[in-house]
Amino acid sequence: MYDLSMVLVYGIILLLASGMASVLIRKKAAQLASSSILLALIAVFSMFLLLTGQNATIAGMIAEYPFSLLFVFLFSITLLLVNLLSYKYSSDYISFSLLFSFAAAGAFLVALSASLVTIILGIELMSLPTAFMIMINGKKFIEAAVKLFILAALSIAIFAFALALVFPYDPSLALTALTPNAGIAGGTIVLLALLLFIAALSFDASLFPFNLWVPDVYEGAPANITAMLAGVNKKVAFVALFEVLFIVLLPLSAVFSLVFQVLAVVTMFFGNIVALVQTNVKRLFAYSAISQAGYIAIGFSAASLYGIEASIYQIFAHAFMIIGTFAIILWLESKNIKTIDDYAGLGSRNRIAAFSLTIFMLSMIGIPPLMGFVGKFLLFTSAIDKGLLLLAVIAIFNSFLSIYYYAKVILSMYSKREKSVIELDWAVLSVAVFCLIAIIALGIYPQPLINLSQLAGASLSSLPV
Amino acid sequence: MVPFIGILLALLSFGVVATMFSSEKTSKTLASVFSLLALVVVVAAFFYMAQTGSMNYTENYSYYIMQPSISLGFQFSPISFVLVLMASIVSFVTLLSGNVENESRKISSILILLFELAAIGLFTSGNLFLLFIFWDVGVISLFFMIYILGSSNRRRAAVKFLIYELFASLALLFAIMLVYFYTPLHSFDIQYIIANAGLISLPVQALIFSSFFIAFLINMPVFPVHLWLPDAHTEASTQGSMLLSGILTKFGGYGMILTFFMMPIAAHFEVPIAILAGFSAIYAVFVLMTQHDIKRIIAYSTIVEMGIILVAIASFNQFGISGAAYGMLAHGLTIAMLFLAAGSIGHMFAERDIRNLRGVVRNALSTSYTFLAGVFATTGVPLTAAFIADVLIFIGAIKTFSIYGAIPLAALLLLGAFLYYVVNKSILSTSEYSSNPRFIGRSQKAGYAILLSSIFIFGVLPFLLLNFFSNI
Amino acid sequence: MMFALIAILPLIIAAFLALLFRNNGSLVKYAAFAASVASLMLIIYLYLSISGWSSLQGFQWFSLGSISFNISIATAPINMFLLLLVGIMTPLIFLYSIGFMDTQSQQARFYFEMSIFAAAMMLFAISASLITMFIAWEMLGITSYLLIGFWYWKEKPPAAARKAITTILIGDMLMLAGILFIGVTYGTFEFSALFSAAPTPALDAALLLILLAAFTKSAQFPFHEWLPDAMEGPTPVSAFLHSSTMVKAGVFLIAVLFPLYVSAGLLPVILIFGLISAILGVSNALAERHIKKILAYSTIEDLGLMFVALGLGSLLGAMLLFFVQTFYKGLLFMGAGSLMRANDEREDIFTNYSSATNKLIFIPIVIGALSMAGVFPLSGVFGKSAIAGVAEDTNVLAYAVIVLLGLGSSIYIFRWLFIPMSKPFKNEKQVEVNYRTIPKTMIAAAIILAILVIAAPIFNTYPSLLTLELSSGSPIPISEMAEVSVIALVGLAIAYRVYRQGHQLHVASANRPLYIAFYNSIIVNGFYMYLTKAVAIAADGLGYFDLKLDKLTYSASSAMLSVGSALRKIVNGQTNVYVAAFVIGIVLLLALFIW
Repeated sequence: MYDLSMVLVYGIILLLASGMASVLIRKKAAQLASSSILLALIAVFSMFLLLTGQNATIAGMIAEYPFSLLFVFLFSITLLLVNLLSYKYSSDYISFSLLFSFAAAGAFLVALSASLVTIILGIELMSLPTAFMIMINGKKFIEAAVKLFILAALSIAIFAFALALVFPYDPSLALTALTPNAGIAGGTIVLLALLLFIAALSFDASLFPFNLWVPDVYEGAPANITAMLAGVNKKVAFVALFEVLFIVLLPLSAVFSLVFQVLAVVTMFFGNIVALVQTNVKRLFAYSAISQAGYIAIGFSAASLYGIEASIYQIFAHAFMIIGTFAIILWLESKNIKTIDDYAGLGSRNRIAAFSLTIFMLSMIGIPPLMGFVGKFLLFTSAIDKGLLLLAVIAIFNSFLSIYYYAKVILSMYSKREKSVIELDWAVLSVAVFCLIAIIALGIYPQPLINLSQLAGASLSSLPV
Repeated sequence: MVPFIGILLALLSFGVVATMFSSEKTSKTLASVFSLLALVVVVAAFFYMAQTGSMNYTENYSYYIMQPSISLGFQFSPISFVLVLMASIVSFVTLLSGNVENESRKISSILILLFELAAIGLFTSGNLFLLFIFWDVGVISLFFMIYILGSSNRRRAAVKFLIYELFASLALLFAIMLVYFYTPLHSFDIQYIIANAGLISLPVQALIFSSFFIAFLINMPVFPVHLWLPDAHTEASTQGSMLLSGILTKFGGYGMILTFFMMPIAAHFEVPIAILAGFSAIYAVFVLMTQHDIKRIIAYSTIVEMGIILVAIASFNQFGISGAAYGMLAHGLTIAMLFLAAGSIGHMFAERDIRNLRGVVRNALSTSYTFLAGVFATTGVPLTAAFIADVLIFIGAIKTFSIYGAIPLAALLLLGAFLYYVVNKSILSTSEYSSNPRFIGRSQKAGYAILLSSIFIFGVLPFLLLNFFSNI
Repeated sequence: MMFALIAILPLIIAAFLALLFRNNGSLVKYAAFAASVASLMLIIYLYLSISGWSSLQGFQWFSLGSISFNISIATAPINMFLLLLVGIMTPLIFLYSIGFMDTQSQQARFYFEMSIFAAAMMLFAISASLITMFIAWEMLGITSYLLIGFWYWKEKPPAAARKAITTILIGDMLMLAGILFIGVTYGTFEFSALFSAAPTPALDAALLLILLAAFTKSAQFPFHEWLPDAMEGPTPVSAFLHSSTMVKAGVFLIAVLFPLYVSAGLLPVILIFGLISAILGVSNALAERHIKKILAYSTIEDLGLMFVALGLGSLLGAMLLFFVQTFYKGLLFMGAGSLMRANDEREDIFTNYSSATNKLIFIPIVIGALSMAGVFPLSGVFGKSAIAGVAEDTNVLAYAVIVLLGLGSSIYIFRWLFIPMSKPFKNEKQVEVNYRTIPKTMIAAAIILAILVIAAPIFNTYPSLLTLELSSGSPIPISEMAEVSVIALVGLAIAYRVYRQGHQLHVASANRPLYIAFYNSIIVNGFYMYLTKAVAIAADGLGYFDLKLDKLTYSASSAMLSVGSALRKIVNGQTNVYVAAFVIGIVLLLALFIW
């Protein structure tokens, strides 16, 4: 049997190459085709590797095992969707493409990393181009880009510092479990490293209080980039958190469980309560995304295989929900429809858009039988399973709070009848419909994805070295 | 063995999809046909079970989620069958005749079929997880029913409805998650929980019970969490009101019965719950008297009736439970008929305020007498289904709470007295009111006939269903 | 299987015919009449064919657990007694209605409701279990409600119907509670089983509730005021439901359950309320001007006397009055109907003209009035003297009251008769013409009833014909009958002196407190009104509370929103704040672990 382990790496390199080539060729359509095809191939191939159970490690930096392959699959799909949207809506698709290919490579690297170094490399590769991707759209986006850039730099610095703290214990910096009991002082330092890792990654994962940039940047960035920030970058941070916490710092699981309980609670409350008073839909969904990050953090609090499985499922669910949502917001923004009041009558102006947006929001509330419900259900039960009853109650109460602001948007959309129909374009339509189908289908029949999440979660402890 | 429930759910799901792809014109007919077919299946199931002599019957399909293990299990029990029967009749009539205003036929047909699917699914769910899913589907479809088809002030009512109902659903979710983790085998299966919930420690049981209780209390609804109901009914379209009072409130009633069966600790709370429920009924009837909107009056009557039904459930004996189930059947049919009549009156005269309505009977003969018959059926006149229900309910209540069990009859008395006041003030009275009324179609009259004859069939031939209640 | 039920069938068929052919009034009325005759024939056949009075038949309606809900009927003497009475009255009333309703629209509805009523009344007569009885009982209430409000397009009937149904509802709920107490305690609803059951407090409570229910149906104090208002219904309805049959259902029920009331010691209660009601009936009848309401108050008096008889332990006396009252009260109402028809539906006796010119109408009325007053040998005297006789032997106080009541009732009925006669016909040719054109069927029905009033004593002479077991009491002494007759004649004389000879004495103008003392229905109605107001005030209070509760939930949500607004201020767009938050977050996380 051939060794197929390098194929994914070649794919990523080809993606980078095509990005660079686009600057020379400057053919939008060709670039769209090549990058899309490559992303699709990566998706197919990663799923193939996952299903055939092929594991491999490459140069101590890259590891292919169920967990990484599952997330390569997710990122390739979400990136593909973002790419489609950007082709239509980015003002400078060629420059976008170049930056996009780097960011994509960064995301894949984080997923595939076999070492802490790869993780920081991947995050850097992803965050900084993202800031530039915002900037290239014009002057009015510079503020958001600068904010993102500064805070991203800060988080990377902190991550690097944490890296330095664990270096004495494992100079290889490989993704293997640390043994923190090397002296009393050593235990404290590892603890400090743990907190710094969490803080650094919480920046992209948008956990309170490291997430204050999120509303500004999500609102200030073009919606296609917002979709990427919420649908890819945030998820990458969670993947990094998985790798750092559940592999390297697994012995400290009692500690980070407690940290995440706190983070989950404050993040959920922050996101949901502030979302209650928003009027701009994009900003509202920024807060919504924050609260969703809080829910995902519940799986970390549970710190069990079941919790990991639940979080992974919810990451998938939220990626589809939020990309679908921002796709529609992007399209509406181009029609200068921004606030909740502007959304009035959307139900009659474009049925498909309104229906999809409704389903996305119902899914975010956690209405069965949609994906968001299954995710929340798994998360809440994982907390109860570990005896975290209060956390489950708070999470449920937060779900309740969120009904209000989602309902506001839904009510607005169906509030009146408008004659003037507005048409969806193919890019937004295809992205929205794809997300819609995924959310309904995996909500009604969630078992395949749950199986994969379980497989991926279990593989975290058996990383091929 | 015919998989009746599977056929029902498949039929209705297919109906929803088919209606989605139908045209505005044909949608109502198409949906009605599917709903009628569902009713036929339910009746066929009845005859099948009448032959075998038992209504305890389960269907299991492949797993929905393996871990935590959730199977697609469905069941008929006498209680759930009675409710399924009621839901299928009311849904069919709602589709056939409820659209008095004749607006948005397609979207309403889709939502009604979806709601029927949810209702039948909920009543037949063999495990709590499915019950929860169907609950939310039902709530959401009714939310849109209120919001898209309701009157001009519907926004506030719809939000209120959604918030109350989803709060209930989240309390329900919490309860079922707790049940799952605290039963020995980790199961959502209702029969398993009924058999094993006694093993759960008392404090946890109390937590689970109160969580269930709050969820179902909101839905029934009972004071002090009843406030969503009057607004929702006032603003909803006729169809929305029929489904809300007719079927949705029975989710709570059914759930409450299940809770009492599942949680042994419920036995400790029988008296306080009965007091709350009785108070709620009497409270609601007083508040009802201050209302002027005919739909709002009927809406409050739902709170009265559901309070009485909760008294019966709290008595938790064979009579109380059978009475509650039969009461929900009777109330569902009756209230749907009253709302259909009230909606028709509102549509015909563009007026629902009893202070302004006069001599409705002059221009709306069948509607008026249907309304009157509905009032009779509400007060439990013999030969209507409500009479059987009242007899059983109060036997159950008196058995458990001795003489005090009869107190809620006072609520029924005041309710009847006020409804007759409405009838004599607005409907059977001098006709001064003479704006040119619009007229209702033949389908409304067919709806009246179906509901009325159902009310009488279950009132005259109660043994058809009650024979199956001999061993619950 | 159950022949007695078959006797009811024609009327039910007639009701359905009325529904089906609702646009064909003439078909419906003859069908209803034919059905009532058929029903009577069946009842007579049943009556003659029953051997040994087999008492109980039934079938199970449904059952649950240990309790079986049966439809049971009995053809014991007392049941056959009422069945026959209703059977006789129904065709007569229908015959009268054929004429009376000829100018009315909506005849089909009338005959539908009347047929249902008659069927329910017959079912009530033969019911032998509480469940069966209650079904009939409620049907009586509903048909009564519908028939009182028959002319809903007029001003008063809807309010009268509402008053009636409210009182009836009170009775229904009390009755239902009582029945269910019994059902829960004994596990059965059969009368026969109750007679042999051991008494319990629950049974006593239930009997009291049933007694109160009987008071609502039979218009006894304090539930009596609906009956005068019920006169807003068409006259055949008053003649049928509200004098001769339905209102006596309460008396009949207590009579059926009489042994239980005796052993529960509730007779004094029955006696006291009966006396009060009779007194109120007489006093109001003396002051009332409405031609039918006088008769309604008179009915209250009659019913009160029946309860007095029961309270004194004399089932025979009660049943005798029950029997004779049916005919004379029906007859008087028929007369009142003719009178009103001739006088353009005027209701005030002071503005009406008597039917003295038309002997066919007038003579039956006089017979009715004499019978009611208790003049020998017309039937009324037998009922009254039986009761007076028992009272004389057992309770002197009651006896004195009864004597006074006899005088009073004689005065008011002749007042009722004489006041219209006291005005000479001047320029009122039209009324005379109207009297001549009163439909034949109305006159015929009244004449038949008059014959029955005269002939009724036959039944008393041959008590075995009707009353079998009832006749076991002591025979009525002649002296008692003479006494009652004398009192009646004295009353007649007073009334003649006062009213016939033009002394249009009207208490209202003379003395207001005295007038109110007599016309105390004002007080009772005022009491009802205050009760209604109390309910309305409670309702307003709770309605206000409900609104406040609603507001409270809104303020909870707005509190949440203001928290949101406050928190939003953190995100103020300043990057340095975000960086600071980042650092503070790390510090706080550290702090979490350092302690």
